Amino acid sequence: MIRVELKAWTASFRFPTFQSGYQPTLPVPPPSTIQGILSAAKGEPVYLSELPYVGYVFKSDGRGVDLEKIYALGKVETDIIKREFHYNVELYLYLPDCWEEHFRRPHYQLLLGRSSDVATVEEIKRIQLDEKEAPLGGTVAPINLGLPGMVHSLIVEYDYSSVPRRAKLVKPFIVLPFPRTGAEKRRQTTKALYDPELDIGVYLHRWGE
Amino acid sequence: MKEIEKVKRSEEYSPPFVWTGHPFTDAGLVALLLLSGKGKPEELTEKDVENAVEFASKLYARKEWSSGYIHAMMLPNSGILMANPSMSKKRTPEEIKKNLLALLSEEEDPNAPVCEICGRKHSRQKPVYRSDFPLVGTGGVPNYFPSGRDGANICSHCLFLAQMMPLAAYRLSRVLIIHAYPYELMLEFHREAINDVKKSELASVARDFKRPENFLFKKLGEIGRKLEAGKLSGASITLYYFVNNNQGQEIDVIYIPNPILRFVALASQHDSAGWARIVSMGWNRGCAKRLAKKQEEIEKSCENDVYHRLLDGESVLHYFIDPQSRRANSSWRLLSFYCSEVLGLDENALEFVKRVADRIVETVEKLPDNKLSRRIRELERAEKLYQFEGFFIRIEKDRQELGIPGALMGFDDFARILTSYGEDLNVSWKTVKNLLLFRIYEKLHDRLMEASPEGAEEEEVEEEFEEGEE
Repeated sequence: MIRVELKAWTASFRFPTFQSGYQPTLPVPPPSTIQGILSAAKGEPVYLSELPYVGYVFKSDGRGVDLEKIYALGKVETDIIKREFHYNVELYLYLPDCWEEHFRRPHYQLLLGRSSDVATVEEIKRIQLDEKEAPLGGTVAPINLGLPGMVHSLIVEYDYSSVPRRAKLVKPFIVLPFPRTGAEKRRQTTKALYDPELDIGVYLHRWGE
Repeated sequence: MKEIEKVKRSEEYSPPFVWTGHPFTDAGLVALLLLSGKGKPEELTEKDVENAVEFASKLYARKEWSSGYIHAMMLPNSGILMANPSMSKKRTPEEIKKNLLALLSEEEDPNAPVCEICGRKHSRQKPVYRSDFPLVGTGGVPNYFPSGRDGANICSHCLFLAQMMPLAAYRLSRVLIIHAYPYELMLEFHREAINDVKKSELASVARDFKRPENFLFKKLGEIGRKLEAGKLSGASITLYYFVNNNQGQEIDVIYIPNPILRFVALASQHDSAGWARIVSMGWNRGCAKRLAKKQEEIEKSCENDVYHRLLDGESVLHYFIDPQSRRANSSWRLLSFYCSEVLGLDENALEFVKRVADRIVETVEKLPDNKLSRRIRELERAEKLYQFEGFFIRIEKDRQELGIPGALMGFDDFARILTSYGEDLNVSWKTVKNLLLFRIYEKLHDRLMEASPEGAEEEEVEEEFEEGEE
């Protein structure tokens, strides 16, 4: 397995249906954002349900709110919206070895949300993770895992064979922010693969099964 | 034969509504379930749905609901619920009922994308904008829809559920949805809204609470009192506090961490008086003073620092003690739960601090009243680490003067109490200070209150001068 570390100044992950007036960001990227990143790196649509596994861990230094002027499509009209964003972010992707070449030379730019949220590849590393009791966080987990966290329905992957793209797989998830304190770690602990460098558990999603 | 039919039916049966994880559709489902007296979506019958639609339509046709609530706060210009002012003449319960039921019989187009909320059905062909589903965006600014066109991909069943949401929502200055998991908990939190609607035929105003977090904590206390402790172990609550009208759209997403849920539930069950004292110390003073004559208004209208800190992940430990009346506000059990579950303090560390506090008590209780009061005031006023260190040194001297055998603590313990808790913001030496004070107040409240504060103040000045000269 490889671990790809991405870094960016900003990131924003819109709640699927909140787009009027104020756009809060999800605490971590939804799976569809991961699909977008993998597709950009490979240069063609990638489907998470066709991968043997994929895991991710997201960390940020905090959140802020930006005022954004938007231009209505096809009209001479503007609007101001408030958009929440993460700053100083890191995203760790846990992928099969074959993904190394795609992240060494990504085909398109890698984005953590919007086109302004450009990310760079900081490190690609081969790692082996062992299973143990570990805190999960910075990721989404299946709702039946029983960990407490914000519950929300999220799109897992889009079908890119048509324009506009279409949602292909939608599921409810527990959204687990990266734990900062001992109490948060304890609350989010379960049996998982453990990454000792980040001191975090990694949930490997296998949507194909 | 019947058994086979039963099995066959259960295999084929796909309930028309499911919990999706989206707060707005789940709230609509809560309304359906509570109106039908059912607990699970699969128990809903066609008749239940029809009855609920009939009930909703009668209300939605009234001005108080249509223009005063649905149009003004949730679904501006809604065509389905006929909240658009231009429809006022045609608006009747029958027409609204027809529109709602039409959603359920809308044919699915297999070529349409799947619903982005439930993922089970195909999205409806008509575009869905924020006049029909709160905050989803408008056709005027289609920037955030896929390829900039056609509205959100939402199926007619999820859209139907969103139309039932006004019944279960709480109407404060914005609309409040308490999205909870397990979903049974969500039913508990919204039962009051439906009962209010049944009684008054108006949307629930959440007992006139003005602040969503105040209402949540109030309800959590009430529900927590009835719940077994284990029921909340994996529970999650998120507040969605929003407004969606033609003047503006806003949403606050307030996540309530699980330890906070369990802490408030435990407090309500086992130490409600203590929890009330802790909360009472957190009210915004200006607001509380203004409303002093209307005591019940304070908890509805004023900001509370305890609530804010709990939701922001900050420590509320200093609210467990009342330095003015030198009293511990709660039981040690509640404090211990808060420290271990919310602050993440190791239980051994907590026991260690408790032992140190007990040795301090053993020492200071032998002092005369005025000196006792002065010693404790030194601890209360320690704002810098060196002042905190000084307190221990003085207690050690007191022990020697009083001839109490054994030292207050060894060097290792001394170093541990001063430095080991310094890194984490929530578990600093100030945490230790507050824990010590809690235990001291718990044990020595009566004597401390008897001691003359004036005398202690005078002597304190003298001693500080002496120590400065040393």
